[in-house]
Amino acid sequence: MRKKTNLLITLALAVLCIGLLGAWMILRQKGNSQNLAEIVYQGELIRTVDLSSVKETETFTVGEPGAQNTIQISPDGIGVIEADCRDQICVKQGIRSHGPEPIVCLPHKLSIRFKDSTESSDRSEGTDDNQALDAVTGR
Amino acid sequence: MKIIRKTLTATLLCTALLSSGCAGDSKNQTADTSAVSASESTVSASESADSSQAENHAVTENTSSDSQNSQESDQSVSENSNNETPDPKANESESSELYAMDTVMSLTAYGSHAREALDSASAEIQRLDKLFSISSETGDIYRVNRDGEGDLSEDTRSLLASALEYGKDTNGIFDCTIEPVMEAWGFTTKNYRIPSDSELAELLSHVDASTVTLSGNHVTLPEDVKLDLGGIAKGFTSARVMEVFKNSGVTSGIISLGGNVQTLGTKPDEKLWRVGIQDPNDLNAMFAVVEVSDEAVITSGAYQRYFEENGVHYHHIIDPRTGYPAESGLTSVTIISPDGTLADALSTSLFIMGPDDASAFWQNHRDKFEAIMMTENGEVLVTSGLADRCKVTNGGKVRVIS
Repeated sequence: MRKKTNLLITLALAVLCIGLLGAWMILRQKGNSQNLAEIVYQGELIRTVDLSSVKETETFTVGEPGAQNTIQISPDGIGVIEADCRDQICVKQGIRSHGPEPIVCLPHKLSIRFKDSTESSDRSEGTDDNQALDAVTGR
Repeated sequence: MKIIRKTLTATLLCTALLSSGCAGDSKNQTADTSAVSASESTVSASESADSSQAENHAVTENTSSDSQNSQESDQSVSENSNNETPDPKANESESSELYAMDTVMSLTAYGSHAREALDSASAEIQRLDKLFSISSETGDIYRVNRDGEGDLSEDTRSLLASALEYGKDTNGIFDCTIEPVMEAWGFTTKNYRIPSDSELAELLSHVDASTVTLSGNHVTLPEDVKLDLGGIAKGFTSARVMEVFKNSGVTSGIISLGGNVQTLGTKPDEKLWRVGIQDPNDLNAMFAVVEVSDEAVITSGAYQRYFEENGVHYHHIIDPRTGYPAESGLTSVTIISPDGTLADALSTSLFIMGPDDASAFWQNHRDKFEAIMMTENGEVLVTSGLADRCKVTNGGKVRVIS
């Protein structure tokens, strides 16, 4: 009888522990809750994409040949997959779905910024400890 | 009972770990959950020291009402000094994005005067960009480098005076005449190559900021010595933007000039600004968060601009004593200081010094700045003044310098 009670208590505590772990992991995942991408070209917001609702891959170009970027939106995120700029830095930044720093093509003045639709400020981003980050240094 | 005791112990331990926050996080967890992602710095040649793109200007305007609904912070807050009538728009922010000094800059200001502050700041940034650029023909630096001497505007004089002062303070490690060596490596032209030892030796004979004479607003350069204030110009500019904000009646704002962050006051809810520091070993993550008010947070890292040849990584922080990329044992140095110009100069200088000399330098100047440094083996060094407002999030070894 005592053995059975012990076993039940052990199981209950184990379930509690797993529950706590699960809740913690869910809370931490909220740090990546940014789901909007804003595409800004030549100083103008040209498109806002809800990345959480993207089901199919879409590709489109921004700008004219000589100053052109090809942007891809997919369930994996958004990025510049082709550009005729000299340094190709925007292309090398890859496909991303979140981040406090934007994808930037300096020569063409194109930037893609990530934000959380629940946030009213475009500079606050989720972090690993679930508090807002106001900026990132070290780029 | 033994089993129960053991299980209880395990549960308590588990709960304690869960509530301990970032300090015990594993690197993978940080990488998975951090909101920091790779930026331009993940690839070679992400920036040019040449602030030549004065004309490259685009402004994005955003208006938002910042509800600041982040979780409760236990941080003490610094006081917002205004005792005037409360600003009805104190919690509303406006933001601008512009391209200058060969980087993208984002500016955010709060309150009724935010828009005029941003417009004035943008104009000022462009003016300073032209003034300090080594390639802007209407700028002071271009003219002085061409003529070997000349009169400087007050802003350029002030910046050069600071650069020369930091050169002395760091025993020549911060050197505003390093440009010919940077050019030889291709960091200013993006034509990357490895200069020969003899070429570097020849170029280094013209690298010595102590030979620059600044008398009043007149500067004289020895033959073949060139000035480049790119290593300090963004810090100076960010400090100036703070002045522009204040003069426009703004008491709360934050800017990032290509990753050089500077803050004005606190957030409108009087919480400190939270600034993440990019992890040099995992550019999709950050390794620390620091909370600041009225301070600049500026980082130099070996990962920010570099090229690779035959599998060797050559970064852009050149040691003026050798002409080669600094191999000091540090991979990232972040300086936190109310003085943006100082923070910009010292982030580079302490990186070149290495952990021991950098720690000693801080000990001798601890009233001027704080620092967070990462060594090649991943250890994080934090100066003691930051102990209660810096959180290392990558789970690595931390050492407090006091």
